[in-house]
Amino acid sequence: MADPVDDAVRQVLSAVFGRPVGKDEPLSAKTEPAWDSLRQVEVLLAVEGALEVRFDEDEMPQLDSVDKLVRSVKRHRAA
Amino acid sequence: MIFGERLRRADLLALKPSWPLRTFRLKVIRNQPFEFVGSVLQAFLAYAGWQAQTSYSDYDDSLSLPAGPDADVVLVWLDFERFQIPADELAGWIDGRLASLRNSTAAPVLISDWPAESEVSTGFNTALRRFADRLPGIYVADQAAIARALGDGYVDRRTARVAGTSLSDAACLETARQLGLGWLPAVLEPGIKAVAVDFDGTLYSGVLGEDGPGGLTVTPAHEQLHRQLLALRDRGIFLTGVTRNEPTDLDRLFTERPDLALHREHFSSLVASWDAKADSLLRVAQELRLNPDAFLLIDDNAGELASAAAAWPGLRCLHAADAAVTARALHCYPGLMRLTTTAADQLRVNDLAATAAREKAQRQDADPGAYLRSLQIELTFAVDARDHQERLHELSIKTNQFNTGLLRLSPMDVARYIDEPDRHVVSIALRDRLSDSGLIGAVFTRLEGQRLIVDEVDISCRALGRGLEPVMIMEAVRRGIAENPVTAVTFAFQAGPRNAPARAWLEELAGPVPDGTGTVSVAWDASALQRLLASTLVRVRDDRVVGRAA
Repeated sequence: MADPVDDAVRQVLSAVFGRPVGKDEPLSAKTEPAWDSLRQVEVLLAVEGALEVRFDEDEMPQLDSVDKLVRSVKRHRAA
Repeated sequence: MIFGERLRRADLLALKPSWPLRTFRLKVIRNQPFEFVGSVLQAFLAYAGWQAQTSYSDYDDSLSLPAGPDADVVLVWLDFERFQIPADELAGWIDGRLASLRNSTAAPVLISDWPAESEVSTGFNTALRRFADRLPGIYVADQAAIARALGDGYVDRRTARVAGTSLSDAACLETARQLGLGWLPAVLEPGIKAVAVDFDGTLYSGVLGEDGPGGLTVTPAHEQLHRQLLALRDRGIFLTGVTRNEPTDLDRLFTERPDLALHREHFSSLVASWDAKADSLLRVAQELRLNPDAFLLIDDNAGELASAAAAWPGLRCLHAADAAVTARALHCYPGLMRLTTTAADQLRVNDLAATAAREKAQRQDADPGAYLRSLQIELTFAVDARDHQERLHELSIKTNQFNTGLLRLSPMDVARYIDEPDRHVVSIALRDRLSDSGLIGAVFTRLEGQRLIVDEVDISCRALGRGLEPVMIMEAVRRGIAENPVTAVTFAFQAGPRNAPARAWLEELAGPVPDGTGTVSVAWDASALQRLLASTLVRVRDDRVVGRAA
């Protein structure tokens, strides 16, 4: 079933990493060599801008995979 | 999206240009991350027709790393909050580091100022601009203006810990926009000289010929657009109009709508015609003595823009689909930014109005001598004037018709003519009873034994058409020679697409000029110049020799 938040996060990550991020690709800092600490910040800023959420400072370093980003976005939207 | 009120990082990162881009090498010297600006900078640069190959220095608070020879532009990107010394001490230190940087690279240098709202940062920024004015090719990027516009939104304390910078995403995106559309194009290429604006649907909602002046709607966004156009005019960019309307309807518009911020006298040229916009634009360009590629055409009709762009390659176009977006676009459209304003910028627009009066007087006066006498023309010459440096650079890069060398001299190149003992640059100012045209000419010379080499002569098109070229150039040559025992003068010439007037003058002086690149020489005859000066109807003023380095 389509998950609009998951789709939107993957679209943002495609823009940040300059390549398509497939629907089932378990993209994370561990699997993507270009996902370094600077790119981590860029991912967070890009997701915040696109999905209109604001991550907490404490969680920012932990949001290093598609799944974690999607869960956090949903949590912030629900709050 | 590029000119949007709210920028989104993901949208900008996804943009892929489908047009060819010119590449330049950008060296960033920094003590804070630039990556969050740099990644989205490419989208804005692409809109301006550029792409950057960016290299970064290490994080260096001492600013001791050389820029290296391989940069086309150097950007100094400093977080001034990191320095724990008094502001006056910091200013003195940055002055020294900029001078050192200036000596290590010939590339233009952009330095961002201190984006904080405090007496200390304001004082520092004033000092920074003073240093930049003194050093050739160093320009200050107004980062503080972005901070003022964003207010509290400029800073994001969350990112300080994880990213080493407290700039918010909005601050990074807006900085990238100003860099990519404004600041970097301003140091990379000559700017737009004139804006040609459509009327119906662009300056107001409605159709003048159908709705009449009273039926037109001017929204607050249109008013903002009008103010933005006037601000460009104040910066020396010609404001012109091209509209498919009857001239009589246009007269009624200006008479019956005095509430409009734009008045007829604000337009340096105005063509109301049913001809294609490309043809109307050519008429305007001819009136201003410019090439159409020096214009930005603003129109709500995309078809008109497409046909004008096809007719005049190089013409810049802005689709005015929405007045608010158009006003915002004019704030940062590539080629409209001026990092420095010279006295000539402020004189230019008024000088054109005087040109029309001169041409009318010339048509009415059968005796050319009487016409010239009536103008009370005065030429003023200065040798190696350091305070003219920016304008001399402008004359070299912007002058196309009367430019003998096409050397496109950088501020650093101009500084060599000012500083080196065997080189000189003579600047020429022109005024008459109708207007003060300011600095309109430059002659770059160097001595080789008993020969004076004239590397380049630049005369602004605003000063052409009065037959003053021989007096201007040969008097400047005399000042370049000074007391040296020169017997011959050699003019270097490089043919370009538009410098036929320079070639024609040179051929009249010295005979055939080689095609492509070459030189022509004449024997130096000081007495001939004396005879020319005696017969001329203009007043030649001695000025000064200034700026020579110790």
